[in-house]
Amino acid sequence: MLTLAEFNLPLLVAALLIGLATGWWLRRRSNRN
Amino acid sequence: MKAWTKLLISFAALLACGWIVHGPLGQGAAFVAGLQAEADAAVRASMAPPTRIAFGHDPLSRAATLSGSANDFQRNGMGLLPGITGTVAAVPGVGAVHWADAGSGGFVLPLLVETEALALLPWLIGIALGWHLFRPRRETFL
Repeated sequence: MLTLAEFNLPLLVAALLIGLATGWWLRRRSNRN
Repeated sequence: MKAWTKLLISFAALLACGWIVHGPLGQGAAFVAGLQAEADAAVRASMAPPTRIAFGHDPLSRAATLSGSANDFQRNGMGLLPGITGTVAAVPGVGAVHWADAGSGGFVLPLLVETEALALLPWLIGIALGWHLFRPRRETFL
């Protein structure tokens, strides 16, 4: 599994960034307020 | 938009990203080809009788199916001698090893599922990190 993780490191970084963007999106205040 | 809708969209993006890397970008096939080359080299170096090593290709998987004329000792080894099964299993990244004439190898997880499951952890860490970093700040005028 560790070998697979090393091989797919760019994907793991992309997943982290998608998660980070989601965290920001969830926290964003609605413009309607 | 509701929070769970945002999470669902994000999860779909994650799955799509994993599939694109695994399939169209060819990372899945490249990983299995690397395992195949390493396993072939390891068995050749152990001077075992010619053994065919086949990794799952439909769907791609890390499970190796062995076939050849090796006897029980050559297959399973003894004591410190690992045998062909042990030699292939010791290749970093190989998930499971079984012999074609020893019945079915049981349930094998496709490589795509393993890749997606692997991407789940950094995705969750990213959400937790984003949730913490982008929390609303109280505005003070002091």
